[in-house]
Amino acid sequence: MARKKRENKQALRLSQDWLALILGLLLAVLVYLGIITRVPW
Amino acid sequence: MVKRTSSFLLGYIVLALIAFSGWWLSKTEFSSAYGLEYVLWAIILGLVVRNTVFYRGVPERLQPVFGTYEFWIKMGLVLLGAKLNFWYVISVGARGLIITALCVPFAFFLVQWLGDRYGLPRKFSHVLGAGIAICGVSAAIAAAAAIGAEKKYVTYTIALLLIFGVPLILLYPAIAYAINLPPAVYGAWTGGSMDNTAQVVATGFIYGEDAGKIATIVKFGNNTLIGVVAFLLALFYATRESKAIGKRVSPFVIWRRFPKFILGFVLLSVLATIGLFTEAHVSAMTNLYKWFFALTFAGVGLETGIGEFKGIGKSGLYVMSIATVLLSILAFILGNILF
Repeated sequence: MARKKRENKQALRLSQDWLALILGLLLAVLVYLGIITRVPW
Repeated sequence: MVKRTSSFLLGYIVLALIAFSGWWLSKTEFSSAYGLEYVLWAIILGLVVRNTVFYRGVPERLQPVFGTYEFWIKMGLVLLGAKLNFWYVISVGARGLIITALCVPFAFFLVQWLGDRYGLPRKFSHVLGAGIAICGVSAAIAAAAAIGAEKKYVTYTIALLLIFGVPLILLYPAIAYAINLPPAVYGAWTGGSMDNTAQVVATGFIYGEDAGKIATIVKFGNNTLIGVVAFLLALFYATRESKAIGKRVSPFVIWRRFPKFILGFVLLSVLATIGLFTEAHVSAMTNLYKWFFALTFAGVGLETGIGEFKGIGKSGLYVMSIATVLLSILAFILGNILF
């Protein structure tokens, strides 16, 4: 059970890498297309 | 379900409030006068909340939300790529890899040697060694999985890495300001010696944008080695202690553990280099990654409980302290030579 839980956690961490990659690029595309223009800071 | 959603919401509200307060504090006159960036404020506020409001430990339902800082930094780092010329990344990255190639085995075997001297179990030494030598938390988890180490060693390693990193976030820039260290050397020093990627980025950007960029790229060189170390460790345990893991060791682990978000960072850097992005694009992406970084640093602070030292034992603290100091000295020397 504990082993399975650990494996699930690792799988989540690995898929998190892909998700960050995809969402990061998606945001870049939205900025490029002018859908996201000015971001306040 | 409703309870779960509401605790998730509450967690994100706390995270966002700290990130926002960090940003707001960085805009005050006091911060401008002393050059205090949002990075520092977000970490400090997170630390204060964690060790006051949640001094007995973060409630289990909020823990997963505070732990999302790894996701925010990865997304922020992808966007940071749009700001960097690809040839600059290659130039800094190549020198960073030299630092990595020397620092990683140095740190890993130093921890193993110190661990033997102070009586740490070998598996704890190897998990801690991987954490110190590579990129902190992810590397410790990858190493533990590769060698079948007990979960408590991962927990101890993560606590040691996060807690030891916090004073360094303040100490590194203080030393650098005192000796007027060039930003490039500072970046290489930080990227080559500090463990947790989020803390490296924070420490780098506290000393300015150039230092932050270099620290990040040098750390990336280090991050890419995570799979290699996991593979070598698994191979070592499979041959030396065949009973320890009892499964086949495949070089595929090198790719499986590779931090994929770095590919996004490189892609955006290439696109920026061929002139795809205008100044307005880069400015929007910069502000986006700053918000992601603010969430990250709030999360780092919230995850760092001083009470987590309990159970680690003096030996672990000694090994961590000595290894941190010696690795820092080596990275400082190499940074001065190469940058």
